[in-house]
Amino acid sequence: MKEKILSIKNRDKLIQGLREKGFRVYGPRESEGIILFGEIQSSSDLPPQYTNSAHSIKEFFLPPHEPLLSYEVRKEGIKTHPLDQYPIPSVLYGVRPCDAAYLPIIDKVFAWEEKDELYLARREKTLVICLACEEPDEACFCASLGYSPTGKEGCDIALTPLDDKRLFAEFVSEKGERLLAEFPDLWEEIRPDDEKRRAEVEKEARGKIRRQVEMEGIKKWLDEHFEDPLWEEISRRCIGCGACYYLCPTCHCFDIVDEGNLWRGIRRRIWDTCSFGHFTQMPAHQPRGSQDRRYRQRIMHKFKYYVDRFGPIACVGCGRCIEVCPVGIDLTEILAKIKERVTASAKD
Amino acid sequence: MSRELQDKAKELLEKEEVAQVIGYGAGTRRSRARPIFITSPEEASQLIWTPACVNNLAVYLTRKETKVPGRVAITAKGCDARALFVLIQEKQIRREDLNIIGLACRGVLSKKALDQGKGDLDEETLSAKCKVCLVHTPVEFDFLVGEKIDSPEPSSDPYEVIADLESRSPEERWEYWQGELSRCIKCYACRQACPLCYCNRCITEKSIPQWIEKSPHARGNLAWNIIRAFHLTGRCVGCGECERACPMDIPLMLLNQKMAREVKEQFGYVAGMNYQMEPALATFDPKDHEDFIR
Repeated sequence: MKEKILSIKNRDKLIQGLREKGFRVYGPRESEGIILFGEIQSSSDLPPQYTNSAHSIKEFFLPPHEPLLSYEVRKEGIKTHPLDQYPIPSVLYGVRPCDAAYLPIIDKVFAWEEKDELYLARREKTLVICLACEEPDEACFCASLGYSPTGKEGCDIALTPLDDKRLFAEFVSEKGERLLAEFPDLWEEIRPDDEKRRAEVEKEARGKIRRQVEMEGIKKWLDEHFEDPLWEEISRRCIGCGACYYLCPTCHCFDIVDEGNLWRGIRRRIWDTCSFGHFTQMPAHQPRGSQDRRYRQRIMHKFKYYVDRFGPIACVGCGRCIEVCPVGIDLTEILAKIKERVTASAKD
Repeated sequence: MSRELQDKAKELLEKEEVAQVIGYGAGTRRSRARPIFITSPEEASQLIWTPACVNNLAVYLTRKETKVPGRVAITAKGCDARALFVLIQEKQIRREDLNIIGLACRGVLSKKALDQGKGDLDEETLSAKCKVCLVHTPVEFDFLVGEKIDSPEPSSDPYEVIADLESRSPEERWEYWQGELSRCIKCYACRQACPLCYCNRCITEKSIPQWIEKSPHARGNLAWNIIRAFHLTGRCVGCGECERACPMDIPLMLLNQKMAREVKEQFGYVAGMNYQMEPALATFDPKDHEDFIR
């Protein structure tokens, strides 16, 4: 992996240069106390300090709503028109490593038997530049899942601040490496102590993570406990909103809706969640008729079903679900409860 | 305070006067509280009453997952109790099935204060809704935790922000709401946290025909947030749970307050102050002075 230095001074030139080459550059922006990714012109648009954005970067790959086709109802029958969508080449700057780590996990489902063209086209056209997380939030637990506040999974370029003037740049992917050649003057050579300093920054950041979950044995417990009193216990206070799902990077369920009038309309894909009471409602049956079954689905999908089918756990430990839950449900507490059961049964 | 509450809950459960106590327990995050459900006297010591007890627990009385047979005790601040009274008026719960453990309340922490991990109540950390509170002590209760607190006339105009918005031009207001509502992602946390949004099937879930477009685009978000404000008109008690639950920090209470003020001005009615009154928008009087209604 190639390693260089990007000075803060050159960072602006990079953003400018990317814009000149036709990229849309997005970064975290603060407005009314909330951090959301928005288009940026220069680094002065970036907030001086932020933990993470309210949304994960999922919104760039699976937007909250997107048109799929338009339709007309005519005498001769229904006519559909494709809505040709060409994603605009984009750069996401200042992505936290936990969010970037979601990409290789979820690529697996969108590039599975049926290729999701829209998702994959956006993936191809989007460059992800990560910025290491120096001040993890109280709810963060990425390290428990094998990730790091200075991690590189899913990044094209991973940046770690060495001090307030220099960023340590690791070119993780080929797509990222192209920027080396395209902007040869912006990257400086690393100095002898830089790698050491980078490791120190990582160690410091890891040290600030307050939550830790032992994951060993959890998958096996889930394999054997589809029915268990725990599900009711942990979900009793859940009010069935979709805040945890919608802000979760890895949750990726969607619904297809037709919106229009009797004669014409647009078919759209929108976010949906297993938390909603009508999610699995069928004319004759509702297999998940109460919140404990719906909550079980959330845990099972992330920590068992996804693992069975694709390998990785569908959670990166970003902690958003813990932060936004209006009733204080805490995923790390739930995993700890499962772990307690694992430990207890090992003693028997 | 917590001790007094725990003793009462323990007593109610021991004497089998109630089958469940819905209250607050410590959360997992710094100085947070969260809903807990107590069914045995030994668990009563988990109950707490602090300025972090923000949730309106009345929401659990109509959820099938948290309904239990028999009488239930619920801890309620003044604003929470107002929601209970509307639920009684609307025949969703019965007063005789409820034991209201009233909480004399000087206010709760704002969302921002909680996010910053602050636990003490002061001018800065106090939630905005509490600055204009009419009911520091619940209007009615079976037992009161703490000493009765009088509710002084609110120090600021409760409709100050609305008045400010109303002073702007229609274009400016449109732009303001387009901006705020553009963040809505239709997670329905507002609806789910609201004790008065208890419909088994929300209008957004009705698809033949589709009244409200489900997509979180500008039109869909406008339709959703307006219909919710309409459905809460004359009912919203100002507990602020929708706004607190909103992960996108949309000032939803402005819509509800605007409608509450209309109802107050038009009908002299304030929701949730007296459950024996008929709800403002659900009454009919043959002597109504308006012709169209006769």
